[in-house]
Amino acid sequence: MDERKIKEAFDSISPDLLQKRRMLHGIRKQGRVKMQRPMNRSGVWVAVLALLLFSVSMNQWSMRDPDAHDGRERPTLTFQMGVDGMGYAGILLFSPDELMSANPWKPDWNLNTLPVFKHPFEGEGLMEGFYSDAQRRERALEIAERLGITLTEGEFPGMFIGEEGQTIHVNEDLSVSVQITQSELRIDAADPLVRGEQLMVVYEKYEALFDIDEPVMEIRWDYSFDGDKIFQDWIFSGAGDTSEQLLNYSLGRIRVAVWEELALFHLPAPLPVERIEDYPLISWKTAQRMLLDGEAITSVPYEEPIEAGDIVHMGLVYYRNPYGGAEVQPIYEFYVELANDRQENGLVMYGLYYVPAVHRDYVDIILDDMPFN
Amino acid sequence: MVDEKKLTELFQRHADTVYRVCLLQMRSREDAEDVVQSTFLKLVEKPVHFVDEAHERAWLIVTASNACKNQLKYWFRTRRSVLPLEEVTSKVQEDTSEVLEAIWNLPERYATLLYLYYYEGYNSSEIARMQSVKESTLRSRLVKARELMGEKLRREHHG
Repeated sequence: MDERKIKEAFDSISPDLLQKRRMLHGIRKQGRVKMQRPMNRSGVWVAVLALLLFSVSMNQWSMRDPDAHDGRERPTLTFQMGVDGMGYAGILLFSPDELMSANPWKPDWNLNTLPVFKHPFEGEGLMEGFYSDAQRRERALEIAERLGITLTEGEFPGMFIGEEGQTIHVNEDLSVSVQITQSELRIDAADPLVRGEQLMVVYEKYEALFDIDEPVMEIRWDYSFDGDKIFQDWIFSGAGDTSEQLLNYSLGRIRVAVWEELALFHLPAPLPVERIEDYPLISWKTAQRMLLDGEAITSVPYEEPIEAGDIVHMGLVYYRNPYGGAEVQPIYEFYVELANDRQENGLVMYGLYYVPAVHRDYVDIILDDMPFN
Repeated sequence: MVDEKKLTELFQRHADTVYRVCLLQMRSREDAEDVVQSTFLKLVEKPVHFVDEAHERAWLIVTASNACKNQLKYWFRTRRSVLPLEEVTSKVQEDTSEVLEAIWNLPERYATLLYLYYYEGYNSSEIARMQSVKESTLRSRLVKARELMGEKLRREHHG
């Protein structure tokens, strides 16, 4: 490789003078409000006092366990996962840069506690506690009102037909699939930015159906083993406080698919609203250390140690045990590059690993043939 | 807190480096400029005691890279456009255009790695520390980056 040519190539992407002036102007302008200004005498005393308080708090901080909590008794939560018989959880991509997420959580949120929510279904097993046919009908009528249509009963329980052939299927948990025949719109662009614009147009047309505040779009994709790109387009509400934003992202996303003649929307079940209690959380750094120490939960079958550089994404989401259960609790999720799973066509598997975010003093972990990493 | 004069001097010393690191990751001039600004503004919010210029440069590269990664995670909310190479720079010499095209088409991680190694002159141990990976991992990535780039150049020659 010709090093001189490489250096010249990098040289040619340097900023020009105009860009530099623009950037420096922006830095000065934004920084000016925070810049040092001469202090008067009282300002000096305020600064000294602030410094003293800062030193005291730093001393306390340095002695403090970042995951320490109030030790109060709280109901023990259950974190349960099982292998679903379909291999292991992960995403197949050519590059980690393709792993997109609109998860609102950021490491600098520095959360100490989050509420755990009570799910409306407390029973064990998938069929326990599902909503009645009357409640499903009520939900269908609510969706029909948003669409401005009238309904007739379909062939199956939970199935309803609109006056122009729209179908509304209300599932037992009140999640809803809406199917509308249309030819005006489509979401088919391969470029995610163009796809985002298409999704925005669909949102504007069906805004009343979605009925959410501060909409946020998420466009994700992965690949089949043959290299076919498969998109998933979502819309969710970015409104609310920290826990509401996380709930909206984790359990409140609306799946959107629009082809040439058909628009399909999957609206999630109503979000849990009843709070069990606020629980202390471990920090994301502790969760990451647990992952590196092999204490994360995963269906990935490999036992090779994970390095920090293998972690390509982390997030905080709300999670409900797959076999029902009353609790909706926060967990950290990590995507980890699996060198073992590099395909000949360049695709790489990024495996999913979990660490419950609630302090381990309050969580029982139940694994159904699920290896600890 | 750093004062405006110091901040300006720091910017003038390292703007090119920080911008190139950001551009290779963000692939958009506007987004790269935004991240450059937020990187330098971090010093206004939380000053760092730098031992020397090399320390300054390394800190800025790591901070800018992390800021880019954060932006890209949430790109859909913030990213405006991903530009083809010819719209990012018009200064490419004819005999280096193929090389830059090959670099531009590498995944961000490899393009940045080649930049730090070949242009900034960091060795694999220094880059490994900057990117918080083992040196052996970094060396494998460097081999991979060279392979990918070689492949792209060969393809351009034959194509």
